[in-house]
Amino acid sequence: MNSALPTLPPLFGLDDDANISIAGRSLWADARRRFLRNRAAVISLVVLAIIVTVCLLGSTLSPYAYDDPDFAAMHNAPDTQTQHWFGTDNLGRDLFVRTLLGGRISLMVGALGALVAVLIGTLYGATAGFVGGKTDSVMMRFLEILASFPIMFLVILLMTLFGRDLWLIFVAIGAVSWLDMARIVRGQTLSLKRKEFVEAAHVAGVSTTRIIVRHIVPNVLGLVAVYATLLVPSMILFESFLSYLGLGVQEPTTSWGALLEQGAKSIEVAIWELIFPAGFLVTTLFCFNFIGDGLRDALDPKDR
Amino acid sequence: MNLLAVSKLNVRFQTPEGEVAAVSDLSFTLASGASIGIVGESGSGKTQTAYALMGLLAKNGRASGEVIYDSVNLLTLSEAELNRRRGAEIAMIYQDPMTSLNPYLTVGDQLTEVLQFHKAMDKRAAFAESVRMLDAVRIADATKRMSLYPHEFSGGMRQRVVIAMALLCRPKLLIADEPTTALDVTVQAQILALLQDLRREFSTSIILITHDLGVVAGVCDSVLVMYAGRVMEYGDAQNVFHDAAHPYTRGLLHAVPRLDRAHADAGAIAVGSRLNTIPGNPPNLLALPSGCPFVPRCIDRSSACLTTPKLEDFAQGRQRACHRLVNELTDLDAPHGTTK
Amino acid sequence: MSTPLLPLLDVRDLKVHFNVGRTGFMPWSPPRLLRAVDGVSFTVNAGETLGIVGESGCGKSSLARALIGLNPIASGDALFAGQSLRGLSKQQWHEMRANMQMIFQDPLSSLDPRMTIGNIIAEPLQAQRPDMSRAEIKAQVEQVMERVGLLSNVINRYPHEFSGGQCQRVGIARALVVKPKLIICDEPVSALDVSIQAQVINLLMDLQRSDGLALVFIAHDLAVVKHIADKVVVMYLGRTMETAPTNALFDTPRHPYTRALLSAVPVPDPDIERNKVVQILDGDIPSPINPPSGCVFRTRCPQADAACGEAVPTLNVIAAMHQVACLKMSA
Repeated sequence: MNSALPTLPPLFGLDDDANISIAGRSLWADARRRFLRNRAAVISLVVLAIIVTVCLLGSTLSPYAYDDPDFAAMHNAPDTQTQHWFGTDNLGRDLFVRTLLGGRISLMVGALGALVAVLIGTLYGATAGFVGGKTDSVMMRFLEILASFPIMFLVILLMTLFGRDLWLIFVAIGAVSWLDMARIVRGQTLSLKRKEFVEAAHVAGVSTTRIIVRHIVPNVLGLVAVYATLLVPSMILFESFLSYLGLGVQEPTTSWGALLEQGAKSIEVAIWELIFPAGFLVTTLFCFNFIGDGLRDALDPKDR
Repeated sequence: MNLLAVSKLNVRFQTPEGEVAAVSDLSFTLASGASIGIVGESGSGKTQTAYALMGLLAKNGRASGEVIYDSVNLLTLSEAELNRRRGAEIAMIYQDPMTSLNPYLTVGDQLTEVLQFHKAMDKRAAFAESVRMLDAVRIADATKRMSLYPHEFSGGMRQRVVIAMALLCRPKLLIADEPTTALDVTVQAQILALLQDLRREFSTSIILITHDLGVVAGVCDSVLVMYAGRVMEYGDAQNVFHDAAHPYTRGLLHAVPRLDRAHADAGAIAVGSRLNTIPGNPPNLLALPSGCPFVPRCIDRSSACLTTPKLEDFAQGRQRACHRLVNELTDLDAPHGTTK
Repeated sequence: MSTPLLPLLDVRDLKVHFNVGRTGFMPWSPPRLLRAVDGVSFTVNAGETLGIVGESGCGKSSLARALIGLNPIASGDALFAGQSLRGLSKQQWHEMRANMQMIFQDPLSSLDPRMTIGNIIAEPLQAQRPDMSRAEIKAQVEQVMERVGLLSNVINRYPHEFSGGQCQRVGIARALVVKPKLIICDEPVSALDVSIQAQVINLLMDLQRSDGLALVFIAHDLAVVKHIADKVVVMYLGRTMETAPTNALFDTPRHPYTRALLSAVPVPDPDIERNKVVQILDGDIPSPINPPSGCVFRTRCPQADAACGEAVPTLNVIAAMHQVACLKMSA
């Protein structure tokens, strides 16, 4: 019943509806297209995929185990003959296998931090921002208390009480990683809440929970994805920092941070002990940062 | 003597989606002290025309053609030469006054700075001149208000400050891009009256860019109607408004509800009160039809319209771009039984 | 028009206040009030269009949002078919929203960018009618899309792929899909191009006529209101200045503010525009936090005198259904 329009004379070769495609192009599809055009980000994604695959599967190629000391071959330089491709460390353990193991631990720490941040941070921030009022005040004060807690001191305390344990690192990282995410999501939610489409949902009679799940969360997800990607390297660095201080994983397990600490000690006799783990760490950090930047440009083209 | 002569102005933007022709083959002249209205809807290229004249196009945009101002082609000037003219001889007012005001500086600092830069005045002379200009745009207590920050002014006052700033160096040409769109009608009336007075007082030529036909009717001597980057019709305000010769201009004039026309009585609402509409949607500059850009929405189209019509003189001082003869066009004033 | 016994919407001395900080520095100092709407009354009958006009800051949007439950009502009341909108429970509001819907100003930002057109239009239906099957919902969405002039093959597309006019059609379809009796339109055409604006106005008028819808049409464009409304309320700083049937208001405006407002609207005709006398109002609208005493319009009124600062004018009936709040009129 589109009688609002006067009739147009028919015209051969011109059909208004001909160029209307049936399937829509969602914002996600648009973002994917823009991301794939960003060369640095795509290369980083490929490199990162290779690093992850090598870390997960690479150690099966080597005849050595990560905790096999060989006192006949301490500080050996890289050598294809002995199949110590990255050389050995101060106890004669194969550095190739240890670097990959360290990668698994470091990446796991980073991924876990990001996961905790995404799950807890997003929900916590979205709830605080959307509900508002007293709930918001209480939730944000609690968050500020956590954020102002001297986390380094806490970690040292836990380490001395319970000894060095991978799980303690996970606890420490989990506790800090989601705080900033919650703040960012809350800010975004506050501005979304004022948007007309959220009000329209209210007027339509949609329940609060459903508004959060259907309207708020999908619209903050872009920001969350960007921030989570950039959070992974900072979590990896945090773990490396702890390990470098000697507060990290327990020997013979290792991480890139712990390997760096070792490598730095023997820098004058065996430079490869520093170079290989550092190379992996730096490359990974670069990749994550490029991917994060690429995502940001892809998801928010106006800010370029 | 023409102050400004634009001929075959083209503005192209390179975007990831392809080349966008924002303005195509635009030509017009503006006499000293005259005013022209550039009317168009979103996507008509009216704002990009202004930016091209000022040399303020975005990085991915390129302007070609000729913009002869004072016997110099502005498009070929270097950035430094342009800068000297911008502000001093050609000034611009934007829709949002905050575009041209710095929120961290007082209004007085911003006004005097312009004079110190362009006219090399000393601080005291610049201050006195600025106060005089604030008086001219009817800001009461001008001396006192010189020390206020932009956010301490209301929207209408801010636009006055911007106008004062634009007129400080007594420019010969003022380009106003939707100067009253963000303002309430009563404030709009104040600003339009002010522009008229100032034009008389300083004999400044004005290019007024707007979507509001009523604003143009009050202020401009001549009118240029744009659609999808092309000129549809160009002529005197009197002729264009009373005797529009292009289907788009006609449609546009009949699509606005008017205060001077009777309200159809609630009982007789059936047919009489329908507004005439232009069917279809605004042009997509990335997918313009071949030929006349208005053809998808034109009620007078024919197969000839699949080639681009030239902008041609058809009466004294009037131009239009349409293949159909004027007397072939649908008369929208006639009682319309034909539109269903 | 015949007047039913009970108006569809009956607004009585409605006030909407916002807290904007406190009057003192202490947390216990009394809150500073912004009186966005300060005592407005009107009625809307079924099938009728009420226009509310005024400049920015006059409280017309706050009023609209209060009627639909997006702003709290401070005092006074609004009755929908005899039922008060004050103190409705969540459940009651939920039911009320099947009767009352809203169309927003900004066509694009009132649509969730991550949802398809079909899902956007279906949302009120899913919320209101959980008993309906997916197929039924889809059928109804397609039907309403056709009514607002959207082809059904765009059902899976996203808002950013549409022009402003098309987005506003989606917004109208979303409001229509639950078959409400009243739609509140908050500046529904002011963000649209002139040629598209006419399409949307015609569409609204067609729908209203075929469905017997009542509209509360809020706008700052007086010409649009003149075209679409049966009666008009002119607001200034939260108060009603004048209210009358459309013809009476535009032919014989009585309040100095209405007159100034009407004279300020530009008409697309160079002869009229150049020869008319515009009543220029000096200055700007005062702050609703600290409104002038007495008549709120007196600071800009060409006829104001000392008496206007003393007494608050009430609405006086000066002709059939024509009321004016001006001390000079009652004398």
